[in-house]
Amino acid sequence: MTVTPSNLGPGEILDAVPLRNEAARVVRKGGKLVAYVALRKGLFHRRPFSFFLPVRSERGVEFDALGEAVWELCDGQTNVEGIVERFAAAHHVRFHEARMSVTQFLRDLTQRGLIVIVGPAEAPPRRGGPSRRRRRKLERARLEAAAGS
Amino acid sequence: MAEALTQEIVWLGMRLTTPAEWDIVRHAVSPKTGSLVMIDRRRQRLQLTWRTLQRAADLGQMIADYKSRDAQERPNARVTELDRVNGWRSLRRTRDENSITRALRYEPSLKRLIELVLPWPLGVEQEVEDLVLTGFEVLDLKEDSPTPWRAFGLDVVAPSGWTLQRAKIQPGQARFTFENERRQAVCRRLGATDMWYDGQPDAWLEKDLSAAPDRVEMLRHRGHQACLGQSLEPTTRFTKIIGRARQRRDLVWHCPVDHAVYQITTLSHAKDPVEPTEFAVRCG
Repeated sequence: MTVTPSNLGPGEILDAVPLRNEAARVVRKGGKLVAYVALRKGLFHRRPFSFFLPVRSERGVEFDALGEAVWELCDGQTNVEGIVERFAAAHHVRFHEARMSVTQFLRDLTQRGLIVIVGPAEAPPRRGGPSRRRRRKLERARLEAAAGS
Repeated sequence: MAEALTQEIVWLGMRLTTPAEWDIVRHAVSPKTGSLVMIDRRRQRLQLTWRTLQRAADLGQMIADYKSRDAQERPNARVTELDRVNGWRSLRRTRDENSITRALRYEPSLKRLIELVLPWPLGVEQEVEDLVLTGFEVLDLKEDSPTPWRAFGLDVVAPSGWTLQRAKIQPGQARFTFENERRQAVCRRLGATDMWYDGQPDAWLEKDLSAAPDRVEMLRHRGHQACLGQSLEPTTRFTKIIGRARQRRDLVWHCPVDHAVYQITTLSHAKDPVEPTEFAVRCG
């Protein structure tokens, strides 16, 4: 199940595994790692607009040293907990501090399309279950079905 | 070096001992009412709630109320009152593996009713419960004595009259903001210095201020090379012309043991200056 970090509870996110976007192009520029991800093609990417307008076909994200370390750990095998643990050990910070930094960075990478977060196979239902509005709708549908039969 | 197994949190005159891996995720700074919530890696472990009461609460009645409420709401659960530990009156509700411990006390010195809730979804950890209950203490603080604060890796003793207004935790840094009338002080700890700190506190201060301070003095602070900078707070030209701009004083040092940079910033008027050294920030 592919999820975004905000969908997951604090315990669930630790079991999730970040997977890199295989289509991302990663190069080293001036000592820094830059990952390029293709942009969705819009009207201006087509001719004749693209002939006249300097439209970018991909967007680059430059990593600082901390970002590069986390990106390297997104190997498709290590779960978020493992990444946080290694980050905390490498930079001498507490687990919770490292978790805050790492999850925020992973959220940014997800939004930029550089990674996806794959949740645990048997993800537990979200806390609280369906929303109150959804519960009412389901209840109404159930009552209507019962009345109809 | 072996990591400490326990940690001490000092908050609003209360000292709490917990396992080292617990961390605060929610906090309040008001002495009147509020709570501290701590989690481990996966779930909530503790909630400390306080409320100011001018007269001592009837703890026996409160325990009885909790018992009867639990009996009504959860008839399958077993509720037992526990032995008094370190002044706590407590009870435990158990249903299968799932337990919850509630402990209550009234502190006459602070005029505070304090409640501690410890959820045990995977069974009671008696050692941890004992650690938390016996490790709790109310500090004997006089009205004019300095106030200690210890949380989020920051250990600060604020001079008397200063109150904590905000505690902000961001990735890589923790920040306590204190105020005393129109004077303000901010204590910061910035972590993971191996990645970004170049070993020069004055260079870091200049970067933080986005300009060179008006006056810089290099000194030793807590055994480390430190930098004391003085400048005017960034404000409008009008405020500067009418002389209402406050003086900003910064004390910055790097602690290699903590792998952190500490910064104490004070904002005060020239007539009533506040030196950063008035705040004791412990490191190492």
